[in-house]
Amino acid sequence: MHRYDSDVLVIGSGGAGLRAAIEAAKTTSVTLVSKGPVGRSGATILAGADIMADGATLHALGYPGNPADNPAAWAKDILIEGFYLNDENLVQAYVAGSGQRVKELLDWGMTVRDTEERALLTTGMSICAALRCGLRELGGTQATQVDGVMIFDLLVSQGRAVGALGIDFETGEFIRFQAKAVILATGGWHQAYAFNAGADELTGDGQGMAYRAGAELVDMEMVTFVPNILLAPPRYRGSLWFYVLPGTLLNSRGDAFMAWEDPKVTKLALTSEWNKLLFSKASMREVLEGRGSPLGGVYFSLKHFPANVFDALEQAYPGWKFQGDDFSELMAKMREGYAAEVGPAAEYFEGGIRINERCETSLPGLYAAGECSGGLFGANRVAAATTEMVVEGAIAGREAAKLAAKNETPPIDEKQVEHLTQECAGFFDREDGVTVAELRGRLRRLAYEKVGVIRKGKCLSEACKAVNELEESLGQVTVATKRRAYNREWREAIELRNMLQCVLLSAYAARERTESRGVHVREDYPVVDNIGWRQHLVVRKGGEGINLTPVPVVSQTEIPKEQIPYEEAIIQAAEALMARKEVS
Amino acid sequence: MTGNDEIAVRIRVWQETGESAYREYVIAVNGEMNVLNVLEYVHEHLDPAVSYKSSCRRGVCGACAMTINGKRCLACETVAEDGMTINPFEGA
Repeated sequence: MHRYDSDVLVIGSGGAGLRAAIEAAKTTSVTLVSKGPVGRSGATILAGADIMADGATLHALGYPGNPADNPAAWAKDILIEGFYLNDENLVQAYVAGSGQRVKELLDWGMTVRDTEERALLTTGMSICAALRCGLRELGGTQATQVDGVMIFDLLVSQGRAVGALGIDFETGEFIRFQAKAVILATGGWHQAYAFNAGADELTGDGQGMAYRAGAELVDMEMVTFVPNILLAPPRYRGSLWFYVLPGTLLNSRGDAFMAWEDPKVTKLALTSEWNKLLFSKASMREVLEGRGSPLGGVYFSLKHFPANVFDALEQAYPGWKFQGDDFSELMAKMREGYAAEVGPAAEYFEGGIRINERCETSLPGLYAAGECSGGLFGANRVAAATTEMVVEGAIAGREAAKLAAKNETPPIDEKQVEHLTQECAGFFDREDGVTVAELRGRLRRLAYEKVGVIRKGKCLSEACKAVNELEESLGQVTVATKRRAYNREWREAIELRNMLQCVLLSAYAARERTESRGVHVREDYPVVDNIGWRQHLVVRKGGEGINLTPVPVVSQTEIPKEQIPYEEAIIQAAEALMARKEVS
Repeated sequence: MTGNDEIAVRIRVWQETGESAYREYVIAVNGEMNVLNVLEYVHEHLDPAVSYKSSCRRGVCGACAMTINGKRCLACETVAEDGMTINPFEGA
C-alpha cells in the first residue's frame, strides 16, 4: 500500500484546509489531501462571498467599516443571531482572529468588490486563489499536496488519531497516511438533501469518520437552508442566482409573501443574511399550506421591474452571467413576466464535530476546522463562514503542529488497517442487492422532507426509523462494476455511509430538541425554551448505538430563563440588533 | 434543446477487463440539461459503470473538464445535444 508520512495530515482543501496547511507548514511537515483538486474543490470556491471582521478593524485596514465598532459588540450580535446556543469560547476566538486573517488574505491578493460595515465583498474563487498564494509563499516546500484521494476512515492507535486511509480515484488503490496530528476540514453534508446548494464532494466525510472513530459531534440538528434556489431546469438546479438577485417571492395564488407583521422582521429579512432563515421558512410554509408550485417550491418573479430597472440590473451582471452559468435565455423569459420555480436548499451546517477554542476534538490528536466543526454559530449562522474557515484553519494548523512537535506517534494498528480496508472492499463481494443510487435517492428525499426546513415530532420519528433501516440496507448495497479504478459508484457507496450517519444523527437530535430555536423550527414545539433547552446536544458512538447527551452551553452571557414564542424571539432579536446599529 | 425529447449519446466507459469502449445510451430530456446532468442520469439509472469527475457544478472549479465531440469542455457548462460523443477520461 502506498503511504505518506508527515507530522500533520490535513484532510480537505477548501479554505479551512488550505489555511490549516499554511499554518502547520510554517514549523513542520504537512500532507494536504483532497477528494477533488487541491484548492479548487469543496464549498469555498462557490461562496458568494463576503468575509467579515469587526467594523473598527476594517476601518483600520483602510475600508469604511465602522470606527465605533469593536470585536466585543460583534460577538454580542453573533450570540443574538445564534439564539444563545453558541459556544462562546469559539465566538471569542472567531472575532479575535478575524482581523489578522482578513489582512493576510488582502496581502495575498484577495480582491474586494464592495464593502459593508463588517464585511468585505469578494468571491470564493478569490479567497481560494489568495490562500493558494499563501501556501506557495509560506509552506510550499513542506506541504505535500495529494489530489483526487478520498479519505474514508481515521486510524486510531492507543486512543489517538495517528493517520487516515484513503482511496485514489484514478487507480482505485488504497493509500495510508501516517501523522502525529490530523486535521479534518471536509465541510458539510449537503449531498444528503434532495435540494442542496453544495458541491458534489460535500458528503459529511469528516463528521462520519470522526463519529466512527469515537469523537463527539454537536448541534447536528442545526441546518441552514438558503431560499430561492432554482428547482428547474436540471441545468440550473442548485444555482444561487435568484438568491443573489433582488426579486419577489410569490405563492401559487400570485400573492407576495415577503413581509412580516412586524416591520423590523421584514427589514431583517431584506437587509441581512437572516434572509436565509426567514425566507426559507416562509417559502416552506407556503408549500406546506398548499400554496406551492408543481415542483414543490414557490415562484420568483421580476415582473414588477420596469424595463429600465431591468436594464440596470443587467448592467450589474453583464450577459446575465453568474459563476460559470449563462442565464440569458431564462432572463429573457423573466423579462416577459415568467416566474421561476425556486425553493430552499441545504446550504450550511451549524453543527458538526465538537471542538474547543484550540480546535481540538474529543479524540486526542484530532482537530477540526471550518464547516465540518460545530458550535460556533449556535442555532443560526448569520456571520461569515469564510471567516470561520480561515480563523479555525489557522488555529487548528498551529495547535496540530505544536502537538506534533511534542509527540512521538504510536505505531499504526495493522489490524485496523486491514479491517477498515476490507470493510470498504466489501461492496464488491456482493452480487445482488440494492443499488447505491436507489438508497441515496431515498435518503435525499427523506432528509429534505422529514428533517428539513420545518419539522415535527412525528416526521422526525419516522425519519429516525427510516434512516436506521437504510443504514441496515447499506450492508446489502452492491457495486455493479467490480473494477476499482475510476469507480464512481464505489466512491458513492462509501460517501453514502457518511451521509446516512449525518442525517441519522441530525434526525435524532432534532427529535430530542423539543423546542424551536434558530434554524430548528418544530411545528409541535413553537417556543424557544431558555429554561430547559439552552443546551447543546452532544452525540457520540456508544456501545449500543447513538449516545445523545444534553450539555449546557459554554457561555459567560446570562439571558432570562423563560420560554418565548418563536415568532416573538425573532422580533426580540431584530430589535436588539437594530438598537445597536442606531446607537453606533 | 428544450422540452420533452429523447437524445442518444455515446459515452466512453471502462470495462471490467480494464479496457475502455464507447457505449450508446438513449435518455429522455425533461427541460434543458447539460452534459453533467446526462452523465448523472446515465450513471444513476442506466449504467453505473459510467464514471466521471465533478465538483462545483457551476463552471468554477474545472473538475468536470472532459472531451465532448472532440473538444475539451466543462461538462457542467455544455448543453446536452443528440448525437454527442463524451469521453470523461481523456488521456486515462
